[in-house]
Amino acid sequence: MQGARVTTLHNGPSGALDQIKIDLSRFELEPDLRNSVREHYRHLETLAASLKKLGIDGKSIDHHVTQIFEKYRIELLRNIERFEQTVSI
Amino acid sequence: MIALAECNIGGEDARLAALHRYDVLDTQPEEAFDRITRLVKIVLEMPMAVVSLVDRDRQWFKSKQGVKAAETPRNISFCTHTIQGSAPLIVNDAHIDPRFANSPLVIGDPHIRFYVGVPLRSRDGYNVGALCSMDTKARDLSPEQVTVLEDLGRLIVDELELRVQASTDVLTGLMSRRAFTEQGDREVARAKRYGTPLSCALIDADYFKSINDSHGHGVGDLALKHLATICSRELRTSDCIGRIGGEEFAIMLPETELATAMDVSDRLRKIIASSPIEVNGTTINITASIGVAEYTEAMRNFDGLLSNADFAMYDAKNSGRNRVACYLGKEISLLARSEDRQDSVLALA
Repeated sequence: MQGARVTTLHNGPSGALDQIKIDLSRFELEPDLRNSVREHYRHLETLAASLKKLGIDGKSIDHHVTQIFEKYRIELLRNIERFEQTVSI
Repeated sequence: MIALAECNIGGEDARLAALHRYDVLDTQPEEAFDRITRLVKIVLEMPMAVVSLVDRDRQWFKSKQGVKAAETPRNISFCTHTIQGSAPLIVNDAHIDPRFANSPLVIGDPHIRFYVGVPLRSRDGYNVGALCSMDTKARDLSPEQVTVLEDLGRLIVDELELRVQASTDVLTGLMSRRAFTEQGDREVARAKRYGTPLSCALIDADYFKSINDSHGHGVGDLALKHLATICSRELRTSDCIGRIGGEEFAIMLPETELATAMDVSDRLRKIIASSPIEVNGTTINITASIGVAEYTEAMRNFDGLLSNADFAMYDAKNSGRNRVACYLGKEISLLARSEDRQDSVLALA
């Protein structure tokens, strides 16, 4: 359910995003949460593209995107835990 | 860029309600936000960056880099101007901008001369604050740098929204079990400190499985929303309501003794029983069984209080449903029901 820890990839701006996508696909999410996560992923994609336009190298972009997502992911896991508590009773 | 029409930039009370929904003011710094402000500093090559949340009379910083103050009065802030629109606010030189030239933030510490801020727009369209960056010298930014700031602003809102989702039950909008339990722990601590009474009621919809089986889960969800609406409407703003299980709700009644909590619960029970829902021309009656308990030191913590309310609720179920029962302690070993409540509460005294 919780998936593997996201690892930083160094093969360009899309590397970390691909890994995040794989990671997120492992979560079973209720519809509202799924929409929020999709929105967040889209925002990360946009950020990666904007950083690339600024001339920031792929390795740094991967690093920043992954760091931001890691914190979001922790909050997401708390959210999933809350949902499981509600439905299990 | 967000079209102006999509933003609820008017309505200060509604904007403040959107901000307070996040329940983030005066909380501790968090790495999730600090990472973003650090990135702002790097990408924009600026000495200062903050996540500013604009409250009624102040701006409060959830995250700050290169800024000492935890908050400033709203009337001198740049961000209060940023939240008036949907586009980024850029002040290239505050010394020659009549809006800011005399601001204490410009003529004194932190000596802001350049400012860029993007509104933090909640999902319901209110600008609750700004992600901004400042410099002590006049300068400019490239459009690409401003775009990155906008992108990071959206990620800040993602974080805030996710926290709200974690504390809110999606179906009913009530507190989630986790949020309710955390609030319960705080209320127990307060009751212990000040010696004030604290009661808790557990409400369970009767025959809910039959509603789901006979009418479908969609109608079951409607019934739960209906119960949540009644509870929210009928209780005081100081009372907390949470959905703590499938068809189970809990109410926390601070500064309320058992007898009053019983009265409140019985009133709720009657309102629920007399408020059927109509679905496709069919009337569906809903009733609830309610268990009530008052906190005592023997219960130790909020879990103990909740368990005793749960115990009473099961007695209400076993006694025929659509009734209120209260927990009176093991030494008395007696559960009062609506019918004999008066005698039992007296027995407790």
